[in-house]
Amino acid sequence: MPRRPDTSMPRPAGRARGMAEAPASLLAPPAGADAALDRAMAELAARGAVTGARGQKLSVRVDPGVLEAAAARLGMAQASDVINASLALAAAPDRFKAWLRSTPDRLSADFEPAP
Amino acid sequence: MIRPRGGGEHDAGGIAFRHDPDGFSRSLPRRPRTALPYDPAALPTGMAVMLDTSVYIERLRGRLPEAIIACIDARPVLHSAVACAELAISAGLLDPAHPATSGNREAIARLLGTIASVDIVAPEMAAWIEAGMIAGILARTQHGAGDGVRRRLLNDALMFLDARARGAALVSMDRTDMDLLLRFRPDATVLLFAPDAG
Repeated sequence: MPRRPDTSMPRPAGRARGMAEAPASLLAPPAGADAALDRAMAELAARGAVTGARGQKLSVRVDPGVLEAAAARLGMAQASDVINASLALAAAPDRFKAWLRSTPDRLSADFEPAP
Repeated sequence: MIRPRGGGEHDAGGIAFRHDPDGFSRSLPRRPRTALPYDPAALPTGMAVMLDTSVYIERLRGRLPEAIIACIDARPVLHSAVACAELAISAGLLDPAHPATSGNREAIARLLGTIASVDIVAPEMAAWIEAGMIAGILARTQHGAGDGVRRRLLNDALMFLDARARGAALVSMDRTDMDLLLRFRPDATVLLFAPDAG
């Protein structure tokens, strides 16, 4: 695997503070969740968008069900970790995978790649 | 065999002559499809994939099988600088006077625009040297030694060896070349696919 900047985020087991009890199976991150977050953080770091400090305090209201689902998806317990990771994934989505799944682009029938 | 003066893999000779060119005097027999890695489910869980140029092209032709799309979508993806270069060459070569060029070039440009630079990897020094020897052997024994053939074999070998070095599986449509390359490095992981009917 290519070396990424050290932008890892904590992924403790358990549930986010204030979230309802969830089955343990829901709190296990699906395969690929860590890799998706790592690549998003690496892309943001390459853009110079990562400061390395959580210096901005937010007071926001969120849907607790959505927060819990995100925590389960990411395998994180702390709300700050979940929100920071979710923001990273929103800021640096894997545009290639979106393209792979649904691009409408087509090459012409006579297109031949360079030999 | 001509022995390099150094030895081991601490110098270019040791890397290149890991494969003895005198050991390849005839064309290698092709193996049947059943002996080749076509099953996406056989890839180890979590293994990253590197994409051969054929993956991008067949996706743009609407012929990349759904099982391959799903397999790639579920895994970390490494984009090879070699494949990106091949796509760029194809875009650059298109005849500006051809009526389909604009659409084809835009499709390739949009594709390349989705590939973040942090996801692109390039072969290391040892892969270049080893790939050169393998491409030379295969050009001589399998294909004839034209420039286009050598370049294609070199690029295929570069991606194959780079994927191996990174512990990734190379996804490719090129059954013939991958079958041959796996003879040189049987421990590499390859996932082959046949395109859907257009």
